Amino acid sequence: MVTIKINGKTIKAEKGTSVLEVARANGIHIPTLCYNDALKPYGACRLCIVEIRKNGKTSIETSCTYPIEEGLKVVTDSRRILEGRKMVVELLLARCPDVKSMRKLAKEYGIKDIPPEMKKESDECILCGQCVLACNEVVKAGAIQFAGKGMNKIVDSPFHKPAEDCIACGSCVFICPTGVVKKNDLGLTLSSSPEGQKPTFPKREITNWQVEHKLRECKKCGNPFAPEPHLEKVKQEQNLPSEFFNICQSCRQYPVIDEDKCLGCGGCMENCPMGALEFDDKGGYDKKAHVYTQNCTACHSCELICPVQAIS
Amino acid sequence: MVDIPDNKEQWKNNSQSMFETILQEVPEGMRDVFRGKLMEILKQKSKGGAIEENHVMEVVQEIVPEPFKSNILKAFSLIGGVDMNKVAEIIEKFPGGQETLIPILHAIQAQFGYVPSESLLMVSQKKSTFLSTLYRLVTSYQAFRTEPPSKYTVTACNGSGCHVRGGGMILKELENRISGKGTQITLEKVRCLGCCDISPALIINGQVYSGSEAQAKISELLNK
Amino acid sequence: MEIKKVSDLEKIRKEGMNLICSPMTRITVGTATCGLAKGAGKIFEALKYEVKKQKVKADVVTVGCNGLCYAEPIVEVIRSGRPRITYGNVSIERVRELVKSIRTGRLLNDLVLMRRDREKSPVGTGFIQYTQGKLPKAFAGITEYRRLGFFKNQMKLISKNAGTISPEKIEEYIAMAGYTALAKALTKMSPEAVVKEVTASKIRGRGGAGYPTGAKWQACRMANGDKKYVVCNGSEGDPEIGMHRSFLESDPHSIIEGIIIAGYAVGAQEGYIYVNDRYLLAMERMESAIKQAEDLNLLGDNIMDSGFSFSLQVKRGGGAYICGEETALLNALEGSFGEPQSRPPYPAQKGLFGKPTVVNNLETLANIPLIILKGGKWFSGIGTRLSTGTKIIALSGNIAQTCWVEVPLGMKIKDIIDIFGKGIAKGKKIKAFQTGGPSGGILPARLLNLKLDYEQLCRAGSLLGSGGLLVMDEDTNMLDMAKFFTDFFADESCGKCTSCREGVKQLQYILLSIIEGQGTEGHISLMKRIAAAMADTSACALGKTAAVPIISVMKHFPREIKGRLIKKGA
Repeated sequence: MVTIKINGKTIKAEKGTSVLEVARANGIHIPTLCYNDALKPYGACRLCIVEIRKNGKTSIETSCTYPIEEGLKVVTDSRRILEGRKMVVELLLARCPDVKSMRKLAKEYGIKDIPPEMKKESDECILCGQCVLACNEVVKAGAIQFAGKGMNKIVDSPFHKPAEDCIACGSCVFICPTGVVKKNDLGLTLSSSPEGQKPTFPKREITNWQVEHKLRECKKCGNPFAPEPHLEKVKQEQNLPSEFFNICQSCRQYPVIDEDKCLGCGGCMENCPMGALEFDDKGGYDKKAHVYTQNCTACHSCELICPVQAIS
Repeated sequence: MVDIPDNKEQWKNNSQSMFETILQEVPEGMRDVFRGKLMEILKQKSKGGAIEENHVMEVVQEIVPEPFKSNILKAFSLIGGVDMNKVAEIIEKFPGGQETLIPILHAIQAQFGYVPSESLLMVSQKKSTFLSTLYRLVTSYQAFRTEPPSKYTVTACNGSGCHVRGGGMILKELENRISGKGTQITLEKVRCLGCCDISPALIINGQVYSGSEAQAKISELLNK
Repeated sequence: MEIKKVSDLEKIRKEGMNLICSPMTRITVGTATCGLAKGAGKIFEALKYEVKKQKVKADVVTVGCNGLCYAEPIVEVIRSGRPRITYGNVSIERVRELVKSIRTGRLLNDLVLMRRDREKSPVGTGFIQYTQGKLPKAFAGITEYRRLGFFKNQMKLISKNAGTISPEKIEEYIAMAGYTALAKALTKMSPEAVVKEVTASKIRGRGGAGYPTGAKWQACRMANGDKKYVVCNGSEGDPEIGMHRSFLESDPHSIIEGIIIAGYAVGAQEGYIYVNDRYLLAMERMESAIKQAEDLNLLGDNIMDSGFSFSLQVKRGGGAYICGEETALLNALEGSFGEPQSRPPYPAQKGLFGKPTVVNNLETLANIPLIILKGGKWFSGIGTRLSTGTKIIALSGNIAQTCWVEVPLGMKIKDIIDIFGKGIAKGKKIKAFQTGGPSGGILPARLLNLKLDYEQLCRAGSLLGSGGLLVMDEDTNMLDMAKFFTDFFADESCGKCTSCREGVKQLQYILLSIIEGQGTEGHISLMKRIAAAMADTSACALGKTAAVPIISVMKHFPREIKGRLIKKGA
């Protein structure tokens, strides 16, 4: 544990934690755009900048990447910082004037208009890198990446052709702060098609990467629920019975254990791929199976293996 | 040059070039017959959708006898002018992980004059790297070209010393003369060629020239 | 043979000296890129042909660049017992005559630049004596090189070999006391002692930041890691200079020796030399130099029987100025696109492949052997109190004589331009100059008395940086220069951080508006705001200094900008 000061407030935290995480844990607000706690901090947007004073020297750093150490003094709202942040927002607004979240941010910083001398563009991507990092480091599909550099930097699929490695999981769509990455889920309804042509199967388009994949339909309720390649990828990586991949999230049910019938044989536990079942120790010889739903994926393996059908 | 006839079928990637390559192995008199027969088989394979490269490959593997088969497979590797065997050889020379990617790209460009997209596919497979990662490398680093270079290359020094000595004006003139006319000249701008005494310096097809001499040489090339 | 002890080195030294100061005539041709651009390659071939044809007993040898770029192609003739003669601006038509003159003893007087009777031997206090006995009359009229202003005012320490030795022969490097520093370090000093010596020299990184090298090495020495690396930064992406290239083509072994010593000091066993992707000849010469060193056991396992092993590889860059920034460079070595990474952690703790790494500029490493040989205290006496040692300065632009020189830090910029560059070309007046590359801003002529010093230049809004000195005459349009440098940063920005990528784009746009006559005071105040934000919030030095060109022009040449603005109410 080390002791630091943020805006004069003394705080103790683990050495190496980022200034941003420490600030947030202590109710101090630092704005961010490209930060996501599921991803490795990139430090691209420059909105989370703070003044760091160490060994008598002051420097301006991004709080999302800077690791704390003993004696650090942090200032999150000096005039220099606020003016720096304001310019960052102005620059982003000039790049993406039609993006709602940018206009909202501009309002927060008291920016009424883009300075007239600035070049106005009509981009929608702020190059925060979240879609790229999510695809490459979390999902590990590697379908998209940055291409080009400097003013020509964009996010793209290889050769600007349909992204062959895309599994249509939609992570890039969900994580995007401006909404520029778009998807289109097309179901099996006839009336909703604009051209009057009916799609032969339900599919998901990830518009930006020119990708479309079939959506698998739930065996129980018939609704399309996940793209085929996404399901295939998870199947290859996780040890789950294949039935799991045919049932949608809503139809998956958690096991209910009939304690009267339960023998305490432990067969369900051995068969559970997620380790979600354990003995509930009621003392003595009376052991019963208990489900921990945070680990359970509702794969029904335990239901199938129970010798006395105590699980439903 | 293989003549590709007009037809209504859907061909994906190089499948049509590959198909025509097969027909080149067939004696001319028999070509039409074979064309018809092979097209039927291909249509069956593609089940009404676009004909893919692997469909054509399957036809070769399953139906075509030796020695035609080997000739055709060899010709396939040269489609697009890229000898994929050469690419494989290059990759072999650099055992290791991600740190070998840039040296491999340099070696591929040294061999072919640019980095063909097919070669990136092979590198991504053999080095277990995402294709998107390789695409980023070739588009972000200035050294790499993804298109074949023109017949003549003019490398103009865009360094500070040459700029001060009139290089800026010369570059502008060159850009106007060379660009957009379907000329066979690629203009490359680089920083400091190290020939500061003859600035502004230009390299035309490997030979170094100074400003005014270069203009004359370029006129010569443009008139070719 | 393998060098196992210092006496083995001595044997090879004698062989090398026999080549440099040979009983047979030696003809050298400067074949670094600058010479080759002016036809030195063809002259080399022609000389070989003529020597054979005219049956002259002479060795035609390729050497590097001696700094006299304005006089390339340079050919030197060293006849046994005679002064070393330097011919400049040699054209291919004169080659036959030149070779003939070796037989007849006559000189090509119109091409002679200087003569060398002797030069100080790098070993001990002796001299390499070219002229034996009395000086023949024919040579008396030729100036001895130590009396030429060009050489008298330099302090050629790291560049002493360039132009004298063949970069292709390790024996010649060894003849000039090469690898004796390595022998001393490995056999007589502990790694800690080596770091101490470098710290005592007070040498600072020659790349731009000017960080004390000793402190960097110490930090890496103390870092924990099962493996450590030394990386030589030879990326040289600055648009006004090619000195890394020149060094690698002229004297590659000095870099190798410096890197091995660095490895020994910090505890690294692997080194990489990262080279600008276009420097093909430089990479070739370096790779062959590495092979020669390996053959002599000066690289590889158990160097000189000391127990220390070190391996070295050349790595070709992908072509990006941003890869000169050390964290981006390490990224590039790892096979990614070079984008600067946040620090801490610093490379000395967590660098290449996550291991402790020292990244040093090529010129910094070239200084290491002599710091070890002559001591850190001796080195700290050169230059100024805080900026010790020498610096290679390359003059270009509207200078009368393009050249490069090695001068002690603290020398006045005006003196460098007058003594070595012989002032401005075509008799014009100097208007502005730039030191250290585009990040150094454009300074007015009235600041010419500034000294070559890290602190002084920094205070003036410039920096020592790469060592390029760009000179601009009275006809230069400052707005055009500001645009040129801003365009450079726009081309080279990696695009990661908003401040730099969007900021430099807007600066370009504003500059264009001003150039096209659409600029207003509003443009100026916006430009200042953007510049301040870029300097404060960018992730690396490129973004932080990308606005310096235009800001320096606004500060020092305000009329050139204000004069183009639309007046209020107009």
